[in-house]
Amino acid sequence: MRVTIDSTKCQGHAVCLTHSPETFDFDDVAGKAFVVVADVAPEHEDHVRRAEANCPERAIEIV
Amino acid sequence: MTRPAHVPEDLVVDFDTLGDLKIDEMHARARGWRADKGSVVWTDHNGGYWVVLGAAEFRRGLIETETFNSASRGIKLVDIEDREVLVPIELDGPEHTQYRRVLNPFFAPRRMRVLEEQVRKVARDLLAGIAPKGRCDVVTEYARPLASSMFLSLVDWPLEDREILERLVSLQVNGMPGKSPEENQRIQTDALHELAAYCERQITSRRENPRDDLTTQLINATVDGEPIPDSRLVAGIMPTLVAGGLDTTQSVTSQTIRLFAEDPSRQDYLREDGTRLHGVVEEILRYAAPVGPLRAAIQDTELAGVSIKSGDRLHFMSQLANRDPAEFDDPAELHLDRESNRHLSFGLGPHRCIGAALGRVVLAVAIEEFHLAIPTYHLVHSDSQLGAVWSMRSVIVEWDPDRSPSLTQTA
Repeated sequence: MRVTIDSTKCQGHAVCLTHSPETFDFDDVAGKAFVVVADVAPEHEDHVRRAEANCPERAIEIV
Repeated sequence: MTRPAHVPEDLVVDFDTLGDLKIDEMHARARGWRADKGSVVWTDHNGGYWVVLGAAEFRRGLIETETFNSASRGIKLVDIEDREVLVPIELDGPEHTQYRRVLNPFFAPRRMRVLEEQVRKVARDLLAGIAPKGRCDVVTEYARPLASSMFLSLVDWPLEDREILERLVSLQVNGMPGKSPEENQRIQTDALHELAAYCERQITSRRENPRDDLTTQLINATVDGEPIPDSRLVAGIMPTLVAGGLDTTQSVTSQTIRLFAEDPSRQDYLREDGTRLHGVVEEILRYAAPVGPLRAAIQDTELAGVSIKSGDRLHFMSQLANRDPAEFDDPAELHLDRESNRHLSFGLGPHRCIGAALGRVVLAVAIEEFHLAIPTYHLVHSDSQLGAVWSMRSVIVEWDPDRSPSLTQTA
């Protein structure tokens, strides 16, 4: 599984950080999340799916 | 006021958010509007504006900033003449982005982990006084002091000023229910001036004695290489932060305890497994959203087939969009185990609530600590009101002080 964030859509709700702190981090000044580990380890795939399903801006894409 | 000619008669509803409607009654009414009229309706009250109920329309309205903006007519339902622009919520475009970049670091998720310990301490102190009594008004004895103390810690203002600020924020945000729009304009104007004067005293004190806090850092911050003018600090930025932080969090915490007191099986659900807290918080946020953003159209458009003209105001009501059956299964019911939950309570787009992470932390800690300290409780009485921020006037609950609470704590 690979995951990306569309930074033009992300508005920094930070819901993804709660679901998968292994995968996402946060730019404190821009107020936006970004992907740290784009190749998701199998044991984190569920976390990333939940992050995607709960992103208010629909900014997360799983490929 | 005269209703604009392009508003169809059959989309007009009788809705005065400053009237005496209760939250539950409002939701029942809105269900009727949605069924009979659709996702966009019009009210003549409070200056006349479109009420947006649909989640899809909400998404479009808050993301399509070239059509719906925050600056042109401001975000207050009952407006006050000759006031400072509320910053950052009444700015758009690059100027808005610059102010968000100044403020963002204070509200960053990693900073909230530090604040969490402070919230927990305040919550425990409050509950130590409440638990032995067997009865309390959640609004005045728990939710309000907790939310206010958190905000005051964030900006580092004196905790003993809590009640002064609560009164001013309540008047400035909602005015007084039942008063005429003219009276409310005056009430809100006076409250805003008094609030600005309070903020000015805080700034003066930090200029004399700088500290490591948000207030001092705002004084030292620059936008476009220039310091932020004092008038904008005290009447634009600070009142916005106070208003955003106090009433909203307090409202959702109070609504939670009321919902859980009405149906103690909800308390059991959380007590059985503390790891459920995160999902519970999100569902509560969906169900009990207290506020929705106001926008003005800056070009003619259509929303859900309704013709909107440039200059029209629209209230994008998170409270109602969160109950759109097109977006949420069984939306009128509280499902604490709801899985996918893209609720709209913090808004969307560039004006997303800057305090979202703080709000989530305060709410999670408030709920967790309450159930750690208080055994099964029951509702005695509750009362709510609408306004710019929907809130509980009182939530009186009772419990047996000799029983011990049980909650499997998270982590």
